[in-house]
Amino acid sequence: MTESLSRNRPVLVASSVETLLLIGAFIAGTSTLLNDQFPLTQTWMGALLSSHLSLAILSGLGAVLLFALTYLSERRDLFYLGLATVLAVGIAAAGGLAFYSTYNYDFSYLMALSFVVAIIPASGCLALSI
Amino acid sequence: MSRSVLDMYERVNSMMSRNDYTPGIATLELASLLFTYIAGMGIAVYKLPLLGIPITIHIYAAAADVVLAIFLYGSSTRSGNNVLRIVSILDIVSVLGAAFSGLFYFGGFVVPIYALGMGTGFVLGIAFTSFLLFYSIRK
Repeated sequence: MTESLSRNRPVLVASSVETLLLIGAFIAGTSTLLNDQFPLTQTWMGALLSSHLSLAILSGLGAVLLFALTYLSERRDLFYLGLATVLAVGIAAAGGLAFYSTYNYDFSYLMALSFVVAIIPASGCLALSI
Repeated sequence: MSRSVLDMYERVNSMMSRNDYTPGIATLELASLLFTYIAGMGIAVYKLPLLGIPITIHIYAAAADVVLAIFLYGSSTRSGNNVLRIVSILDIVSVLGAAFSGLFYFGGFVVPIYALGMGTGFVLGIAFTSFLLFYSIRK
């Protein structure tokens, strides 16, 4: 295999993990949306929401890690993508928590939209660090 | 003023035309996926009926997703880059899976598993299409 000049292993690992976590958080989130009733009334509904929250928290931490690694990569393109990922994941997390405390669907919609804004640069970091 | 607009056009054009226009088509596909998602999530979150503007935008954008995914396979094959080609095949499979799941849901099997199938196919499609966009822009 030929050497790739743009290979950055730390960012490659972090962005692959982050993309997988985001995909998992999304699938858990859509299951929650389709099956749960808020306020929660059954144990399995709590389990479904917990799976989403766990993956979402891991995505948040992964995004911070990805940002730190893209900063240290000293590459402008990776830095901007890492920054976009962490900002979008932060907004999604804020939206989700606000929804859970107010049951206002606008926050849920905000969470959904900022999630998809986050996954695009996360995959982008993957593509640019291979 | 016109000089800088021309320069900007030239820069964007030269970027989007790499690898036989794969970045350009991937950008269109990403926009189409976003429309599909915004309309679809609006219907799901606000529990809207499957009538009128939201579902129409969703269906037409979803059809465009499938067509553009196939175009993306075409441009990535033409560019000769095997990584692009394989990921574009995965993209077609995800988007088609989502489309068929959605058709079953819309056609009468109103059970959550098909809606989940739509969502899963969509998110994989977004991941693959973003990958294609950024990978094909690299020098």
